[in-house]
Amino acid sequence: MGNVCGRATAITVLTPIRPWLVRLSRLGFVLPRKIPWMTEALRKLSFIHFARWSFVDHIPYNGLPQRPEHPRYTYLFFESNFNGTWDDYIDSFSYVMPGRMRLTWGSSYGFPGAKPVGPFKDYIVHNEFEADHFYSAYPDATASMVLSALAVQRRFEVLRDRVGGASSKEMAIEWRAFLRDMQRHL
Amino acid sequence: MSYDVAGQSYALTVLTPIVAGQESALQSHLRGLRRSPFADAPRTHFARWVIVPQPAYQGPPMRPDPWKSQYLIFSACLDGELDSYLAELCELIGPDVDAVWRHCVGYPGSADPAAFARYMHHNRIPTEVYFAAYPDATVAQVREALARRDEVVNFAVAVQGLGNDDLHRRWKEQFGG
Repeated sequence: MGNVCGRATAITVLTPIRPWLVRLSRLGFVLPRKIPWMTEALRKLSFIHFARWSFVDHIPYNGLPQRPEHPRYTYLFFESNFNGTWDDYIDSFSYVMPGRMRLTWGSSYGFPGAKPVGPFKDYIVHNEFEADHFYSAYPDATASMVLSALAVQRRFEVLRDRVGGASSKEMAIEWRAFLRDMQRHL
Repeated sequence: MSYDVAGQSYALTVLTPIVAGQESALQSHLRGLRRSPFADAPRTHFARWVIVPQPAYQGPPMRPDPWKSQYLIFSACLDGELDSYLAELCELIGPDVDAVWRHCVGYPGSADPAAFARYMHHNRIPTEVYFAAYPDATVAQVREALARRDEVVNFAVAVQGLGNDDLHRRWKEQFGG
């Protein structure tokens, strides 16, 4: 499947925005930049590596044989790189942050709301494009595994500094403290 | 102000028109890639190529909005700034990216890195919001950390129940110092 690379899954969605709501939609994206708690909600979902939203309001012209495009609508582009199944991903968005989903896609034609999840999934399926090629640099790692590994790495460097030149007893104390601190990351 | 950046991570999105009649050849090429070329572009966390035949129609009151071409979306989550990354794509995987974008209108080829960069900039879609779970970690740092975590877990299992002196000896053997 094009959307899968190891444990990583890709989602790519393009939706047309109602013309009179484009400015409101843009405003909706100012908030996550200004108010950290909105992106903190994404962080708490813990299975997203990277995600992005963009507005496609014009299509660059590259000369012939491309015919100039004048799209009638501005489109909202969304992509995510996450681990787990597509169903779990959409379920989480629907149940954990339905308000944020309304703020994101509420301006787009056809958006049925994030709840109930069935029509929301149908909407995403209708507007999704399967990747023809998808790459992850660490396909076996989930986002949680990466975050844990980075925490272990930071704490390990502290440990290594502390045990340099230490006695066996001191080293053992530091090692146990490391295990205690890093228990949930190992 | 650029919203393409989170920490040291950059979100690149590019939309390029596919030459009419070459859509199937491009799709066959992309779907037939056995090994991703981005494995040789070490600043790439994630990347994708997606062919968009047409945006989906939602029914009334939306009016049909057919695009005249089919488009190729390229996106990448990359380390550091964009221009040096684009130069690296030309240098490290030039023939691979040429094999893809040669199906797109106006593509100048990777043999001229400045023209390649201009093409990517010309067709770039700016990011509105970019979320990165670990924005300050490079690909190399992520891989190193994952390997370290595995090493530490294996070490912790191996030294379970050892006395202080044996633990210390094993530590020095494994990690030095």
